[in-house]
Amino acid sequence: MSKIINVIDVLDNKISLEDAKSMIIMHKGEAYTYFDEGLTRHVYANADKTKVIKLNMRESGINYNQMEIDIYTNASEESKEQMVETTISNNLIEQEFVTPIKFGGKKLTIPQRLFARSCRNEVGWTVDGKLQCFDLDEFKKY
Amino acid sequence: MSKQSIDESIELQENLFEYFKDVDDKTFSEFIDCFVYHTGTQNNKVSKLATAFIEDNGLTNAHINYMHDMENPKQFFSRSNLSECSMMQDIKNSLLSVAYNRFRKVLSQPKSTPMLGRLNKVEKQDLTRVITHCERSNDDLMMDEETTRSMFDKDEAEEIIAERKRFSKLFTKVLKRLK
Repeated sequence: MSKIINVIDVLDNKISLEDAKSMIIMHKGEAYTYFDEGLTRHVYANADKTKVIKLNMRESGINYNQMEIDIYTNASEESKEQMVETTISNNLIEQEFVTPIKFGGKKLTIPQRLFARSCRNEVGWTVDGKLQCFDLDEFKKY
Repeated sequence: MSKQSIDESIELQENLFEYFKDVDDKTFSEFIDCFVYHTGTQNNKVSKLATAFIEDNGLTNAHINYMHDMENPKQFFSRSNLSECSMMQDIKNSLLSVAYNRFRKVLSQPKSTPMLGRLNKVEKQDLTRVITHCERSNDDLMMDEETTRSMFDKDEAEEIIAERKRFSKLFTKVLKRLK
């Protein structure tokens, strides 16, 4: 059985991100397990795949979580429609879960593909079938 | 080419096949002349089809920007962003693939009942005219390799030039059979 740890242990560097990948992280009373990682952060999802949390990779030296929440906060309402709802808590990004298109699923139409490419394919499907960008640093950047 | 780009390419071809499945070959061919080879058209049906295709697929800005960049290849900054430019280029390549598959069906008919042999004189003339037109447009583009190389990076330019050569062979083959 996987070891259960508190997210604070990872934030306080008591447990490395690499070690945490095989553990269950408790955050606000809910259990999260490793889901995916990008160049800057590790992503953990809750059991029913409705929420994720993102943990900064320490060695990057830049607080990408703060950058992401700044992008979301300053975005127009129209842009927010195409972004996954994002909040920050204790330097952790909390987001609604979307299924990344790289994990398959539905086919994309041409407008959806154009949107996906503009976000470096960092987009996913919501439960109600909307396509939203989850890595806001990439939102319509390309 | 990565698996992801192959999957994307197939998906795009399926989308285009679906969109144009009810469009007749002649109109589709003229649309390709217009959209892929930028020949312009006097045919109202083709013009409406091109407008509808661009609007239905949310490509209005992408198309305007792409055309601007095509017409001004030497400008320092391009108006298209990366996603628009790659999307437009991929749509053009995929349209050619979809068109190729339509023509291939004609060529792959059993010899005992050749599809081309079943065409009447007027149909043959029409098809010859369309393919001659495509061939001429393609030849013009093949002669202007310099512009292609200036617009795309090396690998993309080589791919486009190779594609044009493949189409040139195909057009020649079809025209030979139509004689």
